[in-house]
Amino acid sequence: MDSAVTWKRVSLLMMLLGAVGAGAILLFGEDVLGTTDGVPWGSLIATYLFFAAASVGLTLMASLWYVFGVEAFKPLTKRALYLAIISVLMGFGAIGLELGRPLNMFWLIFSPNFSSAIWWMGTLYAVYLGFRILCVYCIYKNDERKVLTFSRITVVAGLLAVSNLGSVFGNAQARPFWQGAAMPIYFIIVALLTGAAILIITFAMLEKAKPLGSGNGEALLPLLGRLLLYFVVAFGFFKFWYLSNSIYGVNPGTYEGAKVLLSGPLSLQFWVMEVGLAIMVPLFLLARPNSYTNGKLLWAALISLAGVFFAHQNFVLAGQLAPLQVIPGDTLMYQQYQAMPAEWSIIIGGIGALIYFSLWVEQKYFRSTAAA
Amino acid sequence: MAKYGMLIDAGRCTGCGACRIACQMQWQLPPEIAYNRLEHREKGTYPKVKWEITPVQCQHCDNPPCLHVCPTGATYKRSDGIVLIDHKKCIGCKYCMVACPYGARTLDHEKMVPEKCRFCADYVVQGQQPPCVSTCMNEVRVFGDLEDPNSKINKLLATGSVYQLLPERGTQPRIYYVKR
Amino acid sequence: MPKFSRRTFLKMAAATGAIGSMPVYLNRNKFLEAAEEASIEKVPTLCNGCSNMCGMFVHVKNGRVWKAEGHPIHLKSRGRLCARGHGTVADIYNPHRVTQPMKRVGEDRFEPITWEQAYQEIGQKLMKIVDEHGGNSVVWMEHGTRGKQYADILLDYIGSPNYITHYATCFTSKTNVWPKMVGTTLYGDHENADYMLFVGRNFAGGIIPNGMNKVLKAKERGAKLVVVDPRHCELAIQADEWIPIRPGTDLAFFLALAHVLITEKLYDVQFVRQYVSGFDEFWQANKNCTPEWAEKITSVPADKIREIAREMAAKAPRAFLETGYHGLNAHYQNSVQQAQANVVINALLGNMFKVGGLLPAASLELGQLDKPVPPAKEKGPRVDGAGEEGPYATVEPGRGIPQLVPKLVDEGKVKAVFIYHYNPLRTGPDPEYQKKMKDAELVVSIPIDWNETSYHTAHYILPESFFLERMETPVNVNGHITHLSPQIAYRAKVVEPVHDTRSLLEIMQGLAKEIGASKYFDFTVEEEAEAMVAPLGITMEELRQAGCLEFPATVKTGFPMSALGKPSLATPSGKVEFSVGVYKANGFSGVPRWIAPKVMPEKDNEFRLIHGKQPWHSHHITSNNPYLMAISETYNGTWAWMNSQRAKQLGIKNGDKVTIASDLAQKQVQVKVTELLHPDCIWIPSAYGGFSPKAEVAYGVGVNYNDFLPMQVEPIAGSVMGQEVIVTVRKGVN
Repeated sequence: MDSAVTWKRVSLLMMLLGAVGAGAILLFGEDVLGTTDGVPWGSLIATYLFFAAASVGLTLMASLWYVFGVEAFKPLTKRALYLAIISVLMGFGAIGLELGRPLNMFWLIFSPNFSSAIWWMGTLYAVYLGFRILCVYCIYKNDERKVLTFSRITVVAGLLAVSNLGSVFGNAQARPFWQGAAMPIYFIIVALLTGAAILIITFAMLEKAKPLGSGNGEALLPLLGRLLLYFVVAFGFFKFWYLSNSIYGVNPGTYEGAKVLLSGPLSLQFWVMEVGLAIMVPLFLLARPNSYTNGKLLWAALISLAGVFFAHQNFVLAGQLAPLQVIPGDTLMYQQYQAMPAEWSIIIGGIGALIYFSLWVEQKYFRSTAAA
Repeated sequence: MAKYGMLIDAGRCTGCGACRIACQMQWQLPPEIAYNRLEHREKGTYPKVKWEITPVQCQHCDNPPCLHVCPTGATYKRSDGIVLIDHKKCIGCKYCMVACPYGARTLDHEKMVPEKCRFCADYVVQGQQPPCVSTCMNEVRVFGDLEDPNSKINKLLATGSVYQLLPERGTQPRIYYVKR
Repeated sequence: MPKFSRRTFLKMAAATGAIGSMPVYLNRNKFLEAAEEASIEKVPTLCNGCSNMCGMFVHVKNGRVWKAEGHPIHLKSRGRLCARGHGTVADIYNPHRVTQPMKRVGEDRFEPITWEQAYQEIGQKLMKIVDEHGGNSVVWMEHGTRGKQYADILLDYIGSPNYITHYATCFTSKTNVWPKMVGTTLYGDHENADYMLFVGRNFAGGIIPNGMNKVLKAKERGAKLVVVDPRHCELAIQADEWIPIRPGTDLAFFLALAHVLITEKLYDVQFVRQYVSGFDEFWQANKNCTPEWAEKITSVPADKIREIAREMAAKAPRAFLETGYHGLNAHYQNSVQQAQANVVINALLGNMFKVGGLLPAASLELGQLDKPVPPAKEKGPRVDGAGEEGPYATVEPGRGIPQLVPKLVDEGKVKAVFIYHYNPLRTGPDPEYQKKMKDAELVVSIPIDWNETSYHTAHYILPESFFLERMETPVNVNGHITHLSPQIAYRAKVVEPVHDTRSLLEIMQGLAKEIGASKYFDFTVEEEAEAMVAPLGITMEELRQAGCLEFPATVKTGFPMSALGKPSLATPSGKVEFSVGVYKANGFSGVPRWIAPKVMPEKDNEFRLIHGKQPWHSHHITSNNPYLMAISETYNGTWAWMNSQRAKQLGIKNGDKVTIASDLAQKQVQVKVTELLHPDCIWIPSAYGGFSPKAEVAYGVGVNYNDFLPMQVEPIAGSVMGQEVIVTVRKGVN
């Protein structure tokens, strides 16, 4: 288990870094973040989106067996469940740090505003997490029937929660770039992509760790690879049509947002990190299913995950960097946003935590059951 | 019941910034937090050029996007139309900042509350004028009761040609601007 | 002497109430009621954000200054304040004030000392200098006028004629010209004018709130406002037309205006015949100054010059050329002639002493406290030569030539320098040159904050109490805008000093004790004030409650005539003199004639460096104010302006960093690329470039025109010629 020890150490270090960043944010608040009045939402929101979507994506992958009964995916279900829980907790951590006054959250219960998509986000994700935990409890109790019932509820809650993210952005009156009925669908696509990629990494690593690891990866990995390919294609499709509509439709706000990505301040991050890492490289690696190797799949998944994180960041920022056209005129300059070290540390810490707790669960539950 | 509103004759503004700092003093704000701002535009080319300055602040919308998105109802609208923030309910999610099409909110880094123009709520009910109105040498702003047919603002609204900012957004602002 | 009674006060308050809405606090009982409810004290006093001294009410809550609002009667503010006013009030709690007396103990090191030690050491050194080098080795420099009443006693006591103000960097050409040509200073009656021509005067930058209000009132009435300025200044926003002019050539524009008025017989022939002397001499000297001639020099189209002249003449006498302020009057080699031409244009329009034209200031004769004066001492010639025989004979001795002081220190002619409420290191030309002042045997600065002059040159810093912490004697409220009725106001003490600081009178008393001059300072500011208002028939208590009192009108329209029916201006002929005898006698032209600017930009990368007041800064004195500097930060206020065409040629984009260089300095600054500026110049606000490390808000922010400007003296009025400097600009910072 040498590599596991190394990974534990690395992930602990990453978590430590995250903890330092979190401490800095708790101590110094907005001053250590790159956010401004012009760009109120920054990297922490992107981090939240990454984990929140990943969690639902993992749940959806698990539902392939639980809900839709696709036998081939049965082996990944339990792992998808615990990864989903860790992910959503990391997401909560990120948004908890983003909130300026998190202690006031009890007002969500005592003074709810039903027209607020963030209120629904909190509620749906809380319900989702609740049932997700219930599922795990029932698995532990070996109550197969309840697992099925709760899983179905969780899938519905998860789908609502992740598509509601599209609404969280879409309801922002001032930001046309985020609006439109396609946004909830977009978040489901991203969730699936993220979920598939995380599962590929998990099973590829388990394959590497054989004979100690046990994940039935030989059968699963090519399947997951093909799924990832489909999701990447869907993601690419979405981006292409959405941005081309935004540019040629020339709607106020959407046009400016698309310009930010295509030729504006985020163009490098868009073309290289998003189009390159989330779409082109995975497509290249995954295009011919006959040629899949575990290594290839692992790389495709890792690279697409990195790309997806930047896609989230691009999405969050593109809606804000083009200045609000309150007063028409041509002397506009883009808003400035630069992710700060504290913000980077949270995504690194979150990934570290995902690795660390995955290993912990693997070792505590899966290896022991496998051994038994 | 009064319905407070404001008329801004932006064409009279020469950008001195007295409104910003009078407001900061009124509410004892730190230097970098301001509840109103000026948008500068140059129109035309040298030497036929216009420099247009437009004061912008919370529009106290009748249909406020910031209120709709606030998860805890911390942002609320009084019966006199003034949109205010209940600090004790605010979770600091900044959704209101993202949602406001006027960019009217500014984050108070100490309280972590997205703040904005308060229409000097506590003072105007006593019959006082907001200092951004009363200190302005060019008399850019007129504040008053939109329900009172005899108020100065209503008389001006009846005679002048006015517009609102981003009317297509359906926010129904309570601030009117005089056409240049 | 107009008598003032409570009854007239009430009548006037009622009249004011009829014009605007009468604020509750004019009625003292109502005011007290309101104050009681809110437990807020509202103290009337005078602003110190610039030198206009607007009347304001300062609100004090629990002993702490809360906010200010304009005094509703005071002519300058009329209930309104600009950004400086509000910001300056907040400055009382600025952490970068000098909190107690300081003594220099090293290059950048000071040690706090007691007031007693400061008085003793300064007193001993001063008397030693006076004994060894005589009284006129001592100079007193200040912004102007407010310390004079106490400085004069000290200077008389030690036998020094050297009272020097900052005016060489400001409107010194105007103040030199007007008394000689008109015998007084006249101001535009903006409110009643039908045509206002502002040249190089930004009413919305150097702000008198009620002045701007008057201009807009006139505009509402249909008056025309034309602004001629290299920069589309803030006032130009309100103008019917902005006419950019090549900087430094305003004189040519004026001479061409006069040419049109005269050749087309548009001028007020009767006014000129009756009230002007020297017309022919002026015409002979300027016959060739046609609009076409001026177009080549000024870049203003000849037809536009004709149009303005004709329109003004049509509206005369309710038309005037604004008589100006800082802009133009200390800027060029031809500033004095420009100021003369200003008088000429207005006289040709026949608008003097007429409603809607130019009017004198309303003022009242104030009383004086009967106090012992120091025995007369033989004073030598002024050390700066102002008004003395020699090169600066025509310079007003009351203003002096401050930019010469470092040189005089260097030459050993000045041994002791007192600097009160003045910061020549930043507001005078060439800061490195100015630093020579520190080599005097004694340099005492009396500032509020750690300004550059105190930090880099002072041997002793004696912090004056903030304007809200001290009382000053009553003043006439007038100048730059007109009002038929005189007003009296005074600066009241609003709160106790926050730090160990003292008023100027207290400082002078402390010093006087050490040099044996105590008995000449043996009075209080309250006694002085009471004696000053006594002839007006009011008491200080009445003034204290009202803050500002208005008296029956003293300004009379119509040209001043003697009992014999002759024009009776305070000039040799009693008329407006187009030709100044004193100038002639000293070898200058008596009438204004075209003089080209001293330097001109020629190459592709050369620009004239011009500057101006930003509406929220009073040159550099507000630059350490966190609130006002936050406005600068929000609106990129420190950026240098450049015309977009020139920027394009140099490959400079909006927000780029460029290097500006003259023979003196090379500095980096960000550029605002704009359509709002004449291509020949770079414009920078006069507020920035702080270099006192202890004034942390201002320190290192932006650049200042004085960094690039060599020390120069305009020969007639002694100005610094603040815009006679060419700089090169290039993209990048290396």
